[in-house]
This record gives sequence, C-alpha cells and structure tokens, in this order.
Amino acid sequence: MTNPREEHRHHVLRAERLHVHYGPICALHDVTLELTCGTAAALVGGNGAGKSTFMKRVVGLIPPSAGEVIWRGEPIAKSTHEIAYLPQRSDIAWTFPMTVRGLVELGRYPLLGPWRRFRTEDRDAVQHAMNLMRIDDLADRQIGALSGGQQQRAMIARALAQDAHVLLLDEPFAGLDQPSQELLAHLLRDLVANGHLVVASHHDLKTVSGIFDVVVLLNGTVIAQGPSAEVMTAANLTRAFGASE
Amino acid sequence: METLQDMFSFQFNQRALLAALMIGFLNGYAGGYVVLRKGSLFAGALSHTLFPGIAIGAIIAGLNPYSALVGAFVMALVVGLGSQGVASYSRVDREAAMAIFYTAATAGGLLILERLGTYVRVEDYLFGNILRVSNWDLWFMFWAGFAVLAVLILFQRPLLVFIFSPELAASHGLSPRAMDYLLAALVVITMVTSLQAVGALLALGLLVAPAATLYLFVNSPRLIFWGGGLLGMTLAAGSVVLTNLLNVQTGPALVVLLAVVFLIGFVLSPRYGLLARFRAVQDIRHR
Repeated sequence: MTNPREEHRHHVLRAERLHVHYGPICALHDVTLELTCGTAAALVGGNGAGKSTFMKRVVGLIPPSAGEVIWRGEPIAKSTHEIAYLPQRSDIAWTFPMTVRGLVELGRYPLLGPWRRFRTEDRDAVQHAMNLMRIDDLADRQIGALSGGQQQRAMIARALAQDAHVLLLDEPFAGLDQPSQELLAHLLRDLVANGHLVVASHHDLKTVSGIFDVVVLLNGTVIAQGPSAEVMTAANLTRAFGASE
Repeated sequence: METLQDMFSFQFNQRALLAALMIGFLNGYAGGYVVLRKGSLFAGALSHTLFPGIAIGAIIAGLNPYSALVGAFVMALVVGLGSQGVASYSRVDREAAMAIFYTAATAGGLLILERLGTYVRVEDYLFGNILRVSNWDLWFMFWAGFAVLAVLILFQRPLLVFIFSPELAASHGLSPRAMDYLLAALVVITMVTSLQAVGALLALGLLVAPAATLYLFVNSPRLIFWGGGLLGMTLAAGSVVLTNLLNVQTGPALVVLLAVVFLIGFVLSPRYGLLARFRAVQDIRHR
C-alpha cells in the first residue's frame, strides 16, 4: 500500500491544456504537464502564479474552466483516493480536539466509506504511515501540541494511510526550522524512492535543486519545466518572477 | 425521596422530565458539531429567526404548537439559505447578510404579534415552559431527535472530515456546501425541538454549552458528542427536579446552570483550564 514501488512506478499524471478562471480573472492559462511516479516535482513561482490553483484543480477542488487531468491513462472524473492534496499548514484548525492517530485515521475514510468498520489492515496502514513519517511516538498527542514539522508529517501520514500514490503538498516547508526542513526533505525523498509522485509548491529557490528532481516554473502559465538544473536559470527565473532573484 | 415521588405523581412533571432527558441529550450531542465547526455565531443567528417564525406561523394558523414549530423551522431555513444566497452572489459575507435578515425578521415578528394582540402568550415560546409540554410535543421531540441523531451518527465520518477541514472533505469527493446545508438544517430542527422547554431565546445555550464544556476536557470529537449529550441530559433532568423544589422556571434555570458548569470547567479543567494554565506559568517561573 504505502510501497507502490514497482507496480506504480510508471504511473503518469498528465495535465492537458488546463485553464482556470475565477470570474474574469485568469489564474491558470494553458498548463500542460506530465509527471511520472517516482519523481519529486517543485512548483515554483511568485504569489498568484497559480501553484495552489494547479494543485486544487488536479484534485478537483476547483471546477474546471477547460482542459483535462489524466491519471493512469484515464481522465479524472471524480476524486480518487490515489491522489491526495495537503492544504497549507496555516489552513488547518490545529486546535481541533484530535490526536495524531485520529488525524491519520481520517485517511482511511475514503476507502472505508461512512459505515465500514476499521479492520486490522486499516489499523496496520495507519501505524505504518505513522512509522514512515516518524510520528509513531506522538500517536496520542493532540495535533495542536505538535511542532510545525511534526504537523506536516502527520498530514503526510494521513495521505499515506489513504494509499495515495500522488501527494500534492501546498508549501510543505513554509515556517519550518532547519532540522525539520531537512528531516521532511529526507522523508519525501524516501517516498519518491518508493515510487510516490511528490508535487509541492516551494518558494525557497536555494533549496529547490537539493530536494526536487523536476521543477515547473509557473507564472499563470508554464514558463519552463524539466530537470532542476536545466530549469533554474537566471533567464527563466526572470521570466517567472518578473525580476531575477 | 417522598418529595420526588410526590413530584412525579403529577403527569406534567413526568412529561417535563421525559422532555428534559430527550432535548438535553439531543442538544448536547448536536452541539458538538456546532462547537467544533466554530459555528456558534451562525447557530445564534439562526436561533433568532425562530421567534419571528413563530409569529408568522401564528398569523397563518393561529398560535399553537404546530404553527409555532413549522413557522420557526421554515423561517430559519429561509433566512439561513437567503443569507447564504446573498453571500454567494455578492461580496457581502454570510454573517453580515444574516445579521440584516434576522434582525429584520425579529422586528417584523414583534410588529405582527403586537398587531395580533398575542404578544403576552408568546413569552412561553421565548423562554419556554417545560411544564406545558404535551404528549404531542413529546412525540415530536422523540421523532425529530431520532432523525437528527440518526443522520449525525450514520454520517459521522464525512461530517467529521468536513468540520475538520472543508477543503480536505472536498478532496475526498464530498460536497462541503451540501454538508454545510445539512448541518444547518439539523441544527435548526434541534433548536425547534427545545422551543417548548427552553424557548427561542435560550435554545442556543442548551445547544452550545454542554459540548463547549466537554471541549475543555477531552481530545476526541466522539467523546465531545456523547459526553455533551450525557451532560446536557443530566443537567436538563436535574434542573427539572431542582426547579420544582425551588419553585422557579426550568428553562432559564437550566441555561444558568449550564453556564455555571461551563465556568467551573473553564477554571478547573486539568489540561485546558485557567488553574492549569496558571500552574504551568508558575512552573516555568520557578525553573
């Protein structure tokens, strides 16, 4: 389940000519991308470049204006548990009276539906996801009592418990201290090595190449995409941000 | 003991106790969703539409329990959905639209009732009178409560994901808007069931206080729902007995009692109480 390795390694997530409009405002224009499992991809761009919009569109949170998202060769008609979206940490109500285990268990709900009981394999999946994210010793702690990095890892564990192959992470490194960033980067690399596709919006240009294999530069539309080293050129960054950083 | 036996030899006291047990549990349980959704303000605004609803029901079908309940329910839905509609189609948010609609509805209700000359009799619906609960009211509480609890329990998982994070619910393929409407409708039905007992003005207290008290103690939504239900039920039944002995009105006494219990929890809760916080600060200073 959380080890898709061989069977899922070649699954492809493809966005075809995506457009998203909020009323008269065009948030995303003609975005075409192809991402393969076993890759870590960074979405890089300024505020309002369409990073969150792209992820929300992929997972179906935003009604499509035009274009299609294809997963494993089929258009995504409804949401699928195989693709998980993790909102920004600041968008979650951390005072909610829930333990870490309770949060990770939410990931089983799409698989179990409203009524089916938790079985041993569900409990195992929850435990395994917590182990992978190294939060098993925090299982009974209230989610508000976690550090930023632990909260982020708990959210990822929830997505893993959901058997997600694709993780769409909205600014996962925002507000984390150095050690937490390093641990998270390390764990994300492990997931990628296990065949997951990790897509994350990222704003720290210095750390992009160290964490991600592929970079997609966005500024309302795709400015450049490809291996980090090829994409992160001064010319491309100028086009993406309007000025070189 | 004998006093209790005497008390419950009267049928109206038996009915009052039964009513208290049912609405106490229902409100305490459903209130958990309101507290966790941080929707007390919205529920408060909805509760203010109950009174003008009763007034309009009275115009159409005379002032009786049926017209009161139907009027209150319809009015809450109209104002609730109307303000949601205004929010969807303009830049004014739902709370602002609701504030305009429910104050206008309350003012309109007062004007109508004054005109009809039934102003005084409406007091029972504003503050409740649990001793006047009829058999019909009890059956209504039972079936309405059964329906609300059934939905809340059967759909607990999706509702829980929704109140934790509407965005997460949407990414699970659920419709946050549909869940929002469903919860609002269930909250309205819950408050309508307690009209007879605590009245339109006080219903909100019975809905919110038990779950808010539990929220100070436990870290599990399910414990808040069930614990809130048990606390609401115990305090409601207890206040029927107490107010009978002390010869004061049950509805207002119950709401005061709920607030007192909440305040005790606020001070004494071992994890999230005032004393615990004070002690933690002292510990840090002494280190």
